[in-house]
Amino acid sequence: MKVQRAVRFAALVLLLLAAAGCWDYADIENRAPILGLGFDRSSDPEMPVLVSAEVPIASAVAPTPVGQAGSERRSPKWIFESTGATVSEAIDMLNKTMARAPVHRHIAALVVSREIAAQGIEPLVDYFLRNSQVNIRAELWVTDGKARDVLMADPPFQPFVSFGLEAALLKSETFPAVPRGVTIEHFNRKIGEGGAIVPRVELGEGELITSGAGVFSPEARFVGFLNEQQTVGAAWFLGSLKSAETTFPCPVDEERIVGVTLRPGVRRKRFEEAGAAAPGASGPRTAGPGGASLEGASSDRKGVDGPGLDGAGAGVGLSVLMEIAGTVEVSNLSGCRLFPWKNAEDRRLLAEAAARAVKLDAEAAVRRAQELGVDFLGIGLQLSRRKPGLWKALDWPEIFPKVPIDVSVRMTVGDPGSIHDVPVSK
Amino acid sequence: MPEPGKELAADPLELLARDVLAAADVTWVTSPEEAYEAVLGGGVLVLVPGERRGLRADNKGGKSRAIENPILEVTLRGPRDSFTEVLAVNTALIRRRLKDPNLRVRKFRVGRRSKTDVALIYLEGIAPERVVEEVRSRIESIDIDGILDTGYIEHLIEDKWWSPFPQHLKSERPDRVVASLLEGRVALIADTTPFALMMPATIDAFFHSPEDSYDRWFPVNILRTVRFIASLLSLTAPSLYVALVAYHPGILPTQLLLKVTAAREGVAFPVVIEALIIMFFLELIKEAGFRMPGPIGQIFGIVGGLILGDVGVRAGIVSEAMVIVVAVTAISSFTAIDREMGTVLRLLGLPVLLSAAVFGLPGLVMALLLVLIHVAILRSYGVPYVDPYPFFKLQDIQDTIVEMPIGARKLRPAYLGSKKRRRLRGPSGGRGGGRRRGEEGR
Amino acid sequence: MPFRNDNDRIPSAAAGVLLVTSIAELNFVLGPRLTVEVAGTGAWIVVIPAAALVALSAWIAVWLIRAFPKRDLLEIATLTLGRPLGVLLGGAYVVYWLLRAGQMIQVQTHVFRLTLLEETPRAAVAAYIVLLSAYLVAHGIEPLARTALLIAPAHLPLVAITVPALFTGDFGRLIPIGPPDLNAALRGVWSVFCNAPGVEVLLMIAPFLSGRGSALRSSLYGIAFLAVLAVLLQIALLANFGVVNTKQFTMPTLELSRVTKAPGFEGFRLDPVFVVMWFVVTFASIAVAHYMAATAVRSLFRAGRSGLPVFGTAVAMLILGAYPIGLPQLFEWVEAFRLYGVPVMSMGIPLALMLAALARRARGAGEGR
Repeated sequence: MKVQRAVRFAALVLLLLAAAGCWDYADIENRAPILGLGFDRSSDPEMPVLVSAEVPIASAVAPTPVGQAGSERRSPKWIFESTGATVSEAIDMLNKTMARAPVHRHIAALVVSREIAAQGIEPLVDYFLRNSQVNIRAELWVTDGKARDVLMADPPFQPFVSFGLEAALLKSETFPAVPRGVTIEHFNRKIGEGGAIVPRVELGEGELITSGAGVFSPEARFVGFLNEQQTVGAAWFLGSLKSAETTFPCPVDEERIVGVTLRPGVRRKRFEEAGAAAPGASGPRTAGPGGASLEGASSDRKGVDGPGLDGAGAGVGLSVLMEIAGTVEVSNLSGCRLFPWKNAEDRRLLAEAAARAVKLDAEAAVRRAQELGVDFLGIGLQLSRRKPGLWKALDWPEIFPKVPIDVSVRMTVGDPGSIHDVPVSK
Repeated sequence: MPEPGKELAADPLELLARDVLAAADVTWVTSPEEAYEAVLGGGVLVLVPGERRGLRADNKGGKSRAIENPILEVTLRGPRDSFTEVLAVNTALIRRRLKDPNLRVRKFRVGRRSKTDVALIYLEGIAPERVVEEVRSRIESIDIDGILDTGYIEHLIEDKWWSPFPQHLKSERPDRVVASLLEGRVALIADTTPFALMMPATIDAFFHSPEDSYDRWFPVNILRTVRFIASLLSLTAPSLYVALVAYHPGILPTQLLLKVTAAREGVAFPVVIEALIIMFFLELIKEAGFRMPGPIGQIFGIVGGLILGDVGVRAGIVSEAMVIVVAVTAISSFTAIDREMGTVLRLLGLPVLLSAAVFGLPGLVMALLLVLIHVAILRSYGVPYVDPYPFFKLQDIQDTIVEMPIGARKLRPAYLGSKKRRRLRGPSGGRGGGRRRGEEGR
Repeated sequence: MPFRNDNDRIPSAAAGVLLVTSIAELNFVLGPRLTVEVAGTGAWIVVIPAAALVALSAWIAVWLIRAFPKRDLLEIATLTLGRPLGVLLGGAYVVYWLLRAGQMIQVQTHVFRLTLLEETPRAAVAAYIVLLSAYLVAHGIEPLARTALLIAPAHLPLVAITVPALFTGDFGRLIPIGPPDLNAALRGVWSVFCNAPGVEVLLMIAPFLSGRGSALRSSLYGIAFLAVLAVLLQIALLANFGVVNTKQFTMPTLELSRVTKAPGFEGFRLDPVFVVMWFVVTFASIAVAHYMAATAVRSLFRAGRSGLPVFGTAVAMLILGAYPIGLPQLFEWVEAFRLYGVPVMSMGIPLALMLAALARRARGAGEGR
């Protein structure tokens, strides 16, 4: 009886398999992975979305005895274009020009032109979040020029622009002029929390230049760019860097330029109520010998101290103080006659100068955010978490451009370098 | 049979049997049929006029193969002797290692025409009685013309003949058989074949090499894990490749995807057919290599590899990636300690491949579930095939994927049902045993 | 005496394993969004009192097991409520389990369609699942319990996506800590409880447990294990997506698997692997529900060792699982089913049986002693 049962079972399974039609089967050489998508505005008003797709030619990337046709070296990629009334239609229309079925799960880069971004990229975000077959980890980029031109570039180290852009983002923690990468999912979250900054890419003399960022409002609309200084300042605010190189004039000889590596420590945002001035609300704190770091401060992760209202300022009832701490590693004194190994006062001067440089960057980011009216620095988010009652009473988008925001930076010289003395020049 | 130590009776035949005949094996013969069998079986028949019974003395010499190195179970460390085709020799090899008076050897004669001598060997008090009795009853129920190998017996007495999984352990090594007996298993050896059977079998035991107990725990555990992984690979590698390449290319990293795509371009067949072709070629080469004598067999391997690895790729019949996948499959299956289990797992990869070819990754997983369910259902003499993994006693982990050092394996595995669990008493050697004899590091 | 393989005896520890298997199913995929919708940032906290409710259900079940040794749910119902009511209850449970299994097959095949097999008919996948389940269930409770335990490591992918997500998340998104108000808290607890069906499996395997002593303990361990997983998952979802975005996704756990990068495997997109590994867990749950339905049918119709209950229920499961239904309607069905069906079947009826048994005992007419 058990044997019969087993036989019946096997027969049923075989029948099932035989009746099946391998419905989703498709050999890989009949598919084409899309690595990058570019979105521009097309000249056709009825089909306003112009999509460019960077598609690799596998046999050109990895020639094999079977796949190689002839001995000529082909370009490793092809840019396909299509237009559509919507993002999904334009992407679907790629099938018209692509001889192979596209695979969307390998999309690494989404480059959006300023033109399209200014109208809002909510349709793009919706398409990527709604479809399970696309790569939700695709990184967003914004460009002032044509996205198509960016995808057509020929980066030196990578065969594909998408790979090059992916590699560029790896630097963001040590080169904060390139902000941290923003995936579609991350972008969706960030605009819900006040605004997002998206890395910027431009095409300059055939090379890709990745620095700066584009700012998107909570409506997913592009509102403006950040230059390098503002981007670095935003990174200090957001805590998205591990180190940053900067330069400043030598405190004892302004003609000499000092180069340092800065490493962030803890950051804290304070919200002060009306009538109560924030202690040390402006300028860097005075540091003792060797500097001192903030105690008991929390990182952005743990939330912030309670907010308050300030009768001073522009009458918005609130002022914000951002406290940033960090350490300085001296990388190049360039003839600046300071001896940080031996002299505590020299260390203090260097630390203060570095703090001023960071403060300038951070304040540049703050001014730009307020100028654009988009809180991509996450200040409102912290306020909403700590004081939800107060948050509800405020119309944050309205008052954010006017809220006095001060930045206080405290630096400590942690590593003066491998030499105790300046090299003798005579 | 005349029992040693019995009072001398006034029976000349008994006197003859007990004190005169020097053969190890003396039995009574009470019928003409038994007499014919004795003579035809190569024994000596002693008939005394006036007696209605005779004596059979089995003192077979005759030509037989010398004790040689094991062929299939090669180890770097451990004994180098293996069973031969002579039952008495094999029994003696076991007795040399187990000089325990509780070692029982029960003889049967199986096969109407072949009358093959079969011995059931176990340690009384350690092997569970129900297993012994079950094996005995199954052997006695065999009614067949001839037994030429323990494989015949195996297929006649196993629980589920239709299962692809072997339900008996097999070995040509006496040390492995003795180790099984000491664990509480029962062994079956037969005349005219060097392969012994051991039962009950669990799937785990098919991956244990006798060398594992001789080498140090550190390399043993790593290599054992490698064996398990290799076995899984042999079962799943081609189907995983087909599922990823034909159904879910999105899973692969982009660089790898491009390499695989490039490798596939120009190949004449869909990836499934390509997989089937190359798996077929692999089996062809393997079979041909086995059948050909010595050097010719080696040449087959080289020629086959060259044909597949180079010419096949150039001709566009198979891709390089597929050659790698199938080579990994083959090598993985050959790491199996039990040759049959290795072959079974490799060939089970075929239905798994078909399932993956129809349903992709879900099909692969469902086929593996089917294999898992089958293995979970299977029993060998009442012991679940997957023991001790589910519902185990903690100490049974001592010899599964991991093998504890021998000093830590104090108890026999619980799932074998032995009543006398303890096999190691007290701390041994330098592990805290004895008095301190100074701090010199002794 | 003939040698018998005993496929109808399981150790008491198996109770915990089967309970986990019965409950786990798709709850980790479907449940989080529903809980966040009602409890907001407190979605992780409400798991704890909900787990206590599930533990209470398990305690009630074990009480019944001890009060009626070697009896299953249907027999207990017959003994306490009489044959007509007992049969009615049995029939209701059969329908309930078949609906549960059908739901799981529906959702699972839809998930496959969305993520892995766009064109493959769901009926084909459903048939494969049902065949596997029938093969397993036909051999009794012991292989089922063994398979469930062997499948237990398939829970690891959930840990593999949750733990890295805890490191990348922003715990500020859990502020304010706790549900917004008491009403939200209660609804959150109820939502989690309703998404944890299957406690009644204890009552169906009771006749096969070989030692009663540790059934409650192993069940509580199992519930604790699931509760810890659920808490971690909710925290990871909230920390990574926040309340708004968690509610936005249909199945936020799947989205989490799409965004999480496994250390060392950054280039791989492993969410399909998570989907198929979680399918293994779901399959075990389907098999347990199938087993319960088949056993109940066998008991109701006194079918002995016939294979018909298994195959009959398999056919019913296939019909329910392959029935063409769109995803929005399916989710509405699932939510309604769980909201009304689970509390009654997992706790309400066992509680009623317990009270009835106590009443009978008090009247001195109980047979349970």
